Parts: sequence; C-alpha cells; structure tokens
Amino acid sequence: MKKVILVADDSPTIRKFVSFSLKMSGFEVLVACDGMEAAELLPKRKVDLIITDLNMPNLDGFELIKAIRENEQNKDIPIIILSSLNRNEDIERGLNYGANSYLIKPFDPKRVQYEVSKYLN
Amino acid sequence: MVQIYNNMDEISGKLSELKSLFQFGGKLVPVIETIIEFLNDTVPLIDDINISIKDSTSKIPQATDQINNVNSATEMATTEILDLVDEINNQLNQSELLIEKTKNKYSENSFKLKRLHKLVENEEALKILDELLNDKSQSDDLGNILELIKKIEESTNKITLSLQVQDITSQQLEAVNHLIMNIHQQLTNMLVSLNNNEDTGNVNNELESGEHFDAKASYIKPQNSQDDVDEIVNKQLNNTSQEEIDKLFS
Repeated sequence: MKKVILVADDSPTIRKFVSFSLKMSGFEVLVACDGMEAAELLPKRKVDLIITDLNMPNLDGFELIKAIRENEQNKDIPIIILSSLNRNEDIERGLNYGANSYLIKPFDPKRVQYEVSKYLN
Repeated sequence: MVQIYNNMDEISGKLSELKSLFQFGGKLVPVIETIIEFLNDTVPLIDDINISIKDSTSKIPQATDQINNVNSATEMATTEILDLVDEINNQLNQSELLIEKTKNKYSENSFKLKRLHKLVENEEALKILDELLNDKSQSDDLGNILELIKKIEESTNKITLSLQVQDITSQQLEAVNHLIMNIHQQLTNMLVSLNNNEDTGNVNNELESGEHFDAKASYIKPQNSQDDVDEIVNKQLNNTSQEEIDKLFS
C-alpha cells in the first residue's frame, strides 16, 4: 500500500511541484491549501508524513505543527517544513515546535525526495 | 468738586485708551482682511486636496486588484506549464520502459542468433549470422536514446525548479499589496478626519489582518541557501550528516 503524504501550502504551484515529485517516487499525495484545511483532513485520513509551509492564511505552519504535536493520535507523524523563511529564528522556532526537517524554497525535488525517504523508507 | 474732577480725569483716561484701541483696530483691519482673503483662497485648495485624496483612495483597491490579477494569471500559466511538464515526464517514463523492453528483446534475439549459428552449416548463412551478431549499433542506439531521455528528465526537473520563481514573485506581490493597503488605510483615516467623520463614500477602510507571505522571499539557487539552513538544523537536531547531503548533490 502506498504511503500517504499530506502537503499543506497556500501556493497552488508549490502544491503541484511537491505532489509532482512525490508521486514520481510512488507516494500518494493529499493537498491542503492552508493549515486549517490540513488540520481538518488529519482526523479523516491516515497520513504518514506532512510537508508544510509556514506562511499560510487561517492557520499558519507553526500553529499547525503545534496542533499536530499536541494531538495524541498524530504526535509522531514526521513533519517537514518547506518555506521561504530562512531566518535563524524561524528555523529554530519551527524545529522547537516539533518539525523534523526544514527545507528552503526554492527547493530541489531530489532533496524533498531524500528528506521524505529518511522517514518513510 | 474734587470727586467730580477725579471722575472726569478717569473718563478722559478711558477715552484715550479707547482712542488707542480704535487706532490699533484701524491698523489691524487690513491684516484681518488679508487673513480672510487667504482663508477664502485656501478653503477651495483644501477641498481640492480632499477630493484628490478621496480619488486616490478609491483607486487603490483597483491597483491591488490588478496586482492580484497578475498573480492569478502567472499562477495559472505556471500550473499549465507544470501540467505539461508532468505529461512529458510520464511520456518519458513510458518511453524508457519501452526501450528497456526492446533492449531485452534484442538480447534474447542475440542469444537465439548464437544458437542458430551453432546449427547452421551453410557458409553464406554463417557469414550473415556473424554480421548480425557483430552488429552492436542497434544496442548502442538504444543506450544512447536512454541517455537522452535521462538528460530530458534532468531538464524537465530544472524547468520545475525554475518555475518556483512564480511562488517567490507571488509572495513579493502580496507584500506590495499589503503595503498599498496600509497606505489606503492611512488615506482613509485622513479622509475621515478631514470630513469630520462624515461618510467618505464607498472607501473601504478595513485592512485585512494577518500576513501570509514572506516579503523577503527571494529566488536564489536552492543548494546555497539550503546549506545554511542544514547547518542550523543539524546543530539543533543533529540527525543528518552534511556528508550524506553533499553526496546526494555531487
């Protein structure tokens, strides 16, 4: 059975880029256009890994990670941040909230595949 | 008698004060006239400024709409290009599979030719079989095509990478929009003050709260900025060696 990856990003092009490279690696990809949609999707579907942006409307990436880590059912899901924010404080904040990896935009699809394989292979 | 004299003296004093006051008033009148003239000239100017601010303020949402339209158009175009790249990649994958299949078939045929070579005794036939067995051009061509497909795949990968510029510009445009809306709000507030809180027409003074863009987003080669991020991540989580990552991109 294919592993399921949830991609949360408000940019449709980024959602497409990420889905595109993950589908090529054989994963099933679910997409959410903001943190709120991602949070609402989690109880409905079994997700093996989450890739999230930080700057998103309704519920940002930091809050999404916090909500995931506080939920007993999802607290162990690996989370990869994919953001254009590259200030030290943002990276540290993201990791402190409970993210497992931090990737910067623009990203190399190979690097995304590599990070995902670290947790799902 | 002395009392009357004193009163007269006082009246005379007051009259001379009144005279000075009239004299001062006479001097002040032209100044007041100038001030009134100035105010008369200024009021229409203030009205003009008021109208101009109102006009500019009402045009701002149009500017932000235009920026949003540009954003949507580039987003749509990028998505279309990505769909095409996706399609090309799928076709390339299919081509790769077909070529691999042909290569296997070619190997099987070579094996059969070798078997046939052992069975045939006719010299002419053996010569033809030798020619067929020694001809590696077909296999080489297939290998070359596979290499070409790999190069095309790398190029499509680079296209997707470059297309991410759309996301970066989109964030920058959103930042510009946010700035414009801030100016819009300032102008609206000014209008409200100028009109003593009267209705300012259909000017919307609600500013959308919450930023969901990175105003400093920039398009730089991924590996350069990712190296700096990796350093911080490794320091904090200590879970991936830089050697491993470098190996991936070497």
